[in-house]
Amino acid sequence: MIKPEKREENLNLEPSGTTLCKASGIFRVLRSHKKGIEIVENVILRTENLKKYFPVKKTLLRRHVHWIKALDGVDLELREGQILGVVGESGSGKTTLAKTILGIYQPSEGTVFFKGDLISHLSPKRMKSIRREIQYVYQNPGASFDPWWKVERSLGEPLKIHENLSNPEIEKRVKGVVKSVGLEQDHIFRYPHEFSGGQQRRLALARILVLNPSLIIFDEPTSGLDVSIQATILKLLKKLRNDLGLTYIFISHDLEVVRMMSNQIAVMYLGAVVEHGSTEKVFMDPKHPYTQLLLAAAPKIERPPLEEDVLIQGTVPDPAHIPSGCRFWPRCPAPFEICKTEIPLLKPIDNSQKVSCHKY
Amino acid sequence: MVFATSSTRVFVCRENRAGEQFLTKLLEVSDLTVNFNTERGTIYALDRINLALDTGEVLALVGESGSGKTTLGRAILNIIPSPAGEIKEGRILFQGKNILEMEESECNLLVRGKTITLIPQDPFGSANPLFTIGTQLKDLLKASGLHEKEMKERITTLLSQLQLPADTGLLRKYPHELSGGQLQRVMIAASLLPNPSLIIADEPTTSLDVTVEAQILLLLRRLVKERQVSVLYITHNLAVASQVSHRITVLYAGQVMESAPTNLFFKKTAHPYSKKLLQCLPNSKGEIRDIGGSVPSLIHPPEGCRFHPRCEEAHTRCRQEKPKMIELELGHWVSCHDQTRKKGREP
Amino acid sequence: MISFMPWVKQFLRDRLAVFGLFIILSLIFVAILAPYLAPTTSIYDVHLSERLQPPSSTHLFGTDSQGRDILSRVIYGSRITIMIAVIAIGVSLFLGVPLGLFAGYSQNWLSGTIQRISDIFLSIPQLILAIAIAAVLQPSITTAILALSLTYWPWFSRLVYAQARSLKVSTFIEATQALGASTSRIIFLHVLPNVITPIIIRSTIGMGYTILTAATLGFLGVGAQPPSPEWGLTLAEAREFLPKAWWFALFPGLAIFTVVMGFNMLGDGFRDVIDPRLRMSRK
Repeated sequence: MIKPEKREENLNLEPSGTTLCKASGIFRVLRSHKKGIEIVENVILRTENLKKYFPVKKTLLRRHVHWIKALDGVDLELREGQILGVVGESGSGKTTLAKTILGIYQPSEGTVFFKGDLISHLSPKRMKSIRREIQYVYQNPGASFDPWWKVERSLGEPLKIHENLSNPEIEKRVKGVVKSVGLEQDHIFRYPHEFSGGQQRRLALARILVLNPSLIIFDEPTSGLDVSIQATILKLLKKLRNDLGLTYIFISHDLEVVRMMSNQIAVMYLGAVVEHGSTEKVFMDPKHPYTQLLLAAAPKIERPPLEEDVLIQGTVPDPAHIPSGCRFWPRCPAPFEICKTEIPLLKPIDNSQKVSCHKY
Repeated sequence: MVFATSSTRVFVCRENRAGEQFLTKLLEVSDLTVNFNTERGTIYALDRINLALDTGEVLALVGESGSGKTTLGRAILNIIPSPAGEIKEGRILFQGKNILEMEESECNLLVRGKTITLIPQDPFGSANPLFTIGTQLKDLLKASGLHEKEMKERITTLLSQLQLPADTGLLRKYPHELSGGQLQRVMIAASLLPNPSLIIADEPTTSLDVTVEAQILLLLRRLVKERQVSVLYITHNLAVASQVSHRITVLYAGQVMESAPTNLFFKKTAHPYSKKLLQCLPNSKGEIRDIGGSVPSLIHPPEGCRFHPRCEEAHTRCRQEKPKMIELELGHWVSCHDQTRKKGREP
Repeated sequence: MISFMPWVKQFLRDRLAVFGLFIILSLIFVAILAPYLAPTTSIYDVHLSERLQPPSSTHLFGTDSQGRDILSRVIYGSRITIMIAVIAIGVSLFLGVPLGLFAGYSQNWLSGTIQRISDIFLSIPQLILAIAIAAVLQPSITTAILALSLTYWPWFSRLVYAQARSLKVSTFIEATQALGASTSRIIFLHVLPNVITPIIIRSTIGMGYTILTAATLGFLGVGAQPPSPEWGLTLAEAREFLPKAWWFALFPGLAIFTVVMGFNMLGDGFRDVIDPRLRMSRK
């Protein structure tokens, strides 16, 4: 585990070749390459080998039989102001990733750094102040509100938890935030179930913005929404990011949406990142077979319907029984022998793309 | 195929190989108007809907939430809950008979689950959690009078066509033991078992992963071809509609806006709403476009063409009178005053 | 809280529920104004010359074996009835709700223990326990209340436990935790309001049940003691004079019956109004 140094100037290089340092508000990551030392500025979030395993308890007597490896070694690096898109289907571990970063789950292994500070394995008290800065928007936003509370009260709750503001001040902040998500002031004196899906999403967003967070994780923000409402919400998200200088992690299974919104993409399969790079590169030239599969499977209007079943045989295996070696080999159209036994590492192909596949 | 119309009916004529023309209207919905009476007022859910479906044709009913597509699907099966739901006007002719005038018992015996079946949106909410898959599937064939052996054979053949091997104990499993994709395939099998003429698919792939969705769309296309069964495919996703249907009908706030063969729809989109919908789809240029305004309340729907408050081409007439459906070219119908004017089709 | 008007309206449409409400309000009314409503306030004075008189214009319900006016005694008995019911249910709530909340929300070894303890108490018949307590302490109204509270609190704790436990894993609780809310905040401001409605329903029905059991205890002699005008005790006294002096047993018996029915109807009415709303509001 790497301990962040908090001295003013820091050039100690650990054996793994990267160091975090925090100096006067700027958080840097220093990476050593063959060419020298690379300084990456303003890394707001960084995870190293993040793992989360859930035990499966079979009988009353034995503690556990095996593990569900929901997250199996994820490395991420996110700079301030970026939008990272995390793409994957069910069982890929994307929601687990979000919740582990937030601290809702404690990582089984690995670390999470936020603005240069270690935030995994923190006590609830210290976590509280971090929770202001990293926020999470649920997949089902209506469900994240207390059904017995009027929405207006729920919107003010974060302020009551974290700040000692007077009621009029809270009201003022709530008003401001409601306006910025495009809702009417008098609407908020209703109950959550009285709002439509799109409106619920805006409310969830408002509740989070009221604390002025730095990083927001969106879990399937457009699933189940009509196309026109989806467009409205995405427009709003982009505007807010530009106005407030936010950083986003965008989790979605909808590739087109991720393509529109994010500048970086990480494709996840069964708990690991299989491809990671700039959005343009990954879409133009997907390297990993799973990424190619996802892109081919999504229905598009310009493209004629798929006739080949070869590429889409099989289903996502049970996360409790992940295949040995490369986790994708049973569905890969062209696996090598080595794929069945050895796990491929996430290797950079060029400056902006990393793949975990034995082909490269 | 040739279309002929009067102001209230849409017929489908078909030419068989001998060149003879005859009328084959499998499903014909005429002037269907459905209201719901609630505490808050009357919801004018469907307003004079006209729709037709041919044998072996897949019609995609595209609409956003509140468009009335689910209500329409329910109306065809005549399962709109009453007394709250009221069919004010209209006919639904299925194989020549008006479903709305059938006796409940006759409808149950002959139509529901026999000649018209349903693939529901949420498979886990529709399958009975207390019975095994095998029991539930056999149940559907009880009325067919087949022997036990024949029933099992039909079920296993169908399941294998859907890439669900029946021999891995699938029939003995309970719904919650299957994944979403598997259960939805079972639901599709269930809808095909009675050899129906029409399947109503209510957003069957909405809750599924993209790769599973692709598989299911492929399967559906193949099965439609093999069995010549008609499908009314309800969805809000135009891309899915493009992949699976022969025709697309666009519904907005309870009114039909446009109806066209699929390729014509995308090449020569006519209605302003359809055009806006297509613009909203994510494009590679990185700009995001939406439709201004919001879906109207159906308790106080806009007068005339219900899209007029959000339409850029709206003029006075749109606010007063609901536009008639006109045929722009073969099979391509649109309900828009602006289009009518442009085509010089003033009545 | 959710606006009550539609709930009140629906409640008022249910005739039985309204009738039940009327009965209970009358009970409270009678209990409070007992001295003004009863024909006589001297319910303990013995007038052996007037014993076992059938109902007449001077004694509407007749007199008992000691010549006391039954109507007055029944009216004063209502005070005891209410007192027993309210205190017993009150103590049960006071014990059961916090235990249930804590056990349901914490889900640790302690919650398992609490659940087992409440299971033990649930399995003891109230009457047996009351008799046992009476054997240890003096039989009295206090004994009865104690026995009732000790046997009824698990009903509340179980109810609250189940709710708290299912709420703990619900999305909005998780979201509130993610916002940084403290456990006590979550329990008092989010879990508790969600739990109140089943508690209200259970309390109302519990009142009826408690009153009946209290009367039984009085009847058996382990509850109220003579010369208390408690209804159950009066029934015990009236037994040996049946069937000749039928009025002696009838009126206290009717009183018990009416009040218990009233609480049950009220509880049913509450449940019919609240349950569908609960289901509807969770679309």
